Amino acid sequence: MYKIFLAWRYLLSRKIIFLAVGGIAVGVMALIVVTSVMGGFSKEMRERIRGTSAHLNITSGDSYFVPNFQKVIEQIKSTEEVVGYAPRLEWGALLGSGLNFVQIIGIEPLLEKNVNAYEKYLSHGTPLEFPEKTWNNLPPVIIGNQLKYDLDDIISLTTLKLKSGIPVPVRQDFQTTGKFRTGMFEYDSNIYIPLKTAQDFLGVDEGVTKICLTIKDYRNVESVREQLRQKLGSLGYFRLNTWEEEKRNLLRAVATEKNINAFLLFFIVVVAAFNILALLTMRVVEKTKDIGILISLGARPYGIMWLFIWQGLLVATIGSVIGVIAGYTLAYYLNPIEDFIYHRSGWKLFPPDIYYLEKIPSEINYFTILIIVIATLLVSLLFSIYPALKASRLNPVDALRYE
Amino acid sequence: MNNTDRFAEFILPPVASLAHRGGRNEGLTTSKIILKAENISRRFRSGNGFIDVLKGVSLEIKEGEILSIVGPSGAGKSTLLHIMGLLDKPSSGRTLFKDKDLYLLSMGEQARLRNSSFAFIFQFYHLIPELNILDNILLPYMISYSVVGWKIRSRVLKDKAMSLINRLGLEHRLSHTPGQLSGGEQQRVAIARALITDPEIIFCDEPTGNLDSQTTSEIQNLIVELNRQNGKTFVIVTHNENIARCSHRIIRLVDGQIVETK
Repeated sequence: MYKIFLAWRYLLSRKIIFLAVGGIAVGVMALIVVTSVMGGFSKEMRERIRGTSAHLNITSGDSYFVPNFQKVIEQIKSTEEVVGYAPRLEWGALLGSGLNFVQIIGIEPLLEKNVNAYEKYLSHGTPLEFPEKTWNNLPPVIIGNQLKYDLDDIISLTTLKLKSGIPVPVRQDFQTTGKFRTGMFEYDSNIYIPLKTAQDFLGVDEGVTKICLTIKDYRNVESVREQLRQKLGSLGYFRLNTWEEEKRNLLRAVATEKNINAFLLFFIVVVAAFNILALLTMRVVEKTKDIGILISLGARPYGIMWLFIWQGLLVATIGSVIGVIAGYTLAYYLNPIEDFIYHRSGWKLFPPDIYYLEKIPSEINYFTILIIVIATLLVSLLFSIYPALKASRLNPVDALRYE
Repeated sequence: MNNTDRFAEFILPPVASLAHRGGRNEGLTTSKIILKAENISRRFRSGNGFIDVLKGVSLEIKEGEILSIVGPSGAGKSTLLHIMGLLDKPSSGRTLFKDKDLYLLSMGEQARLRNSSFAFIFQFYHLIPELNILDNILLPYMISYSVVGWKIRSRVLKDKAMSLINRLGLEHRLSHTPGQLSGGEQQRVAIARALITDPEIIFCDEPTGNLDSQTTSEIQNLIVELNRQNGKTFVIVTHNENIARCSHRIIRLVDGQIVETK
């Protein structure tokens, strides 16, 4: 019973120990705030990726274009779980006169609305539709805002079309009738054009490279995929990928960024745990005589070891509690705090024009907080072991003689 | 009535102080051997060589006796005390407590013996400076009890310690830490701590070496009274001739060997 009791008394007797508590608290607080912001950011990114992607995408397994396109559509329509579909023609092109590579996506706007939340990201009040006719009779396009063109600008696209199997360069002018922004470069440098216009531009009648599907309940995606695979088996070789499989690399990049940030910030906790190591090592020297007294009173080396481990764990526990309270509060009130700083100093911590976010995304995850606290306690335990072992190996006679 | 008399009155019925009589303690009636050291040697490394501090010391300690170990500085008195009290290991030889070889016991059994059967009183008191008097006295119990055991028994144990404190006349110092007490008060707390677990042998290493003559006399009386009335066995390393005179036997140690037994 003496171990916790005496560890607590030892802690209270020296103010310097609160430096170690403060270090742990700052580390835990920083980790909670950063993982919350990164979690919120990651969720926002995922929402955006999800919003601009369909549940399931059908592409050809062995050519550019989806074979038997009309028959495939018929099979899709007859699948009960599928609530929306949209054919797409995705192709590469050069924009303007330079080597500015863009992706052009031919879409049918009415069908496209059923497969993603793309319209949510349109700006300038332009709906996801193309006018019948532009003022100079050029085909209409909707462009991502990474492309430095304005509405009603004329843009020129150059691509290769296949003529009898031989690629032939073609060039055509278009007029921008809409702009959009998602906050992600991958999407914001795309150009959307009507499907029919894209097919004419590339000289492929009724050719599409992808069919996007929306499913009634995304949790059933695997059974729908299997159904479609069986139905489409006789029509050719197809790939059926979910949006998560299609955007795997992007999703992984977002998750990796979050994990790397957490990993790097964890070094604050490691540095704070070094404080524990230093302070406990100092305490072992200071308390050498006490160790001898305790052994003479019947304490075992194992008990002496735990006396010092408890000191490290108490520092880590108090620091973690303070860090969790401070970190949670900061993550919860991040935006009011940011507003406060902005109104007082004029400094915008999180400029909305960089990430297209009105406020700092923050998602507090209790499981993450638990992991942070457990990791902090484990690291502190690890750093307490060395001085604790040193204390437990002291010779009682030498310890009693220590001055 | 001074503090020592009050303490003695609590531990045992009042008797005339032996120290005041100024003679040898000859009241030992038992011949049962409680602790036996057989051919104890202790060698320490010193630079490139070795120093033999104890050279085959053998002695027997009878239950209920006060044994004083005297001798010049560096004779090996404290080393012998530490070996008999399980704080140090002999280089050769063995120590038997109630016929059990102490150094064949496990570490846990050794710690249990130090906690409940043995007790130590040191020259420099060796109290824990962060703890108040009550907690210092209760420390041996805190070591032996688990958290649950302590929760169950703490009230009884605290009452026992409080009685000791009251009898020591230190109740007004209850919340004080050792640094706020005089040397004599600190040594009384150390004695109370040694007695609280009701040990069978109390090892004293120069118990009055840091006290004035008045307090030395009080502590000396206390030891004698505890021995006479409670039958406590004391092994005392001392330079103080008065304390030595109050013991049943005196062993003189010179250069790591017993040269005289009185």
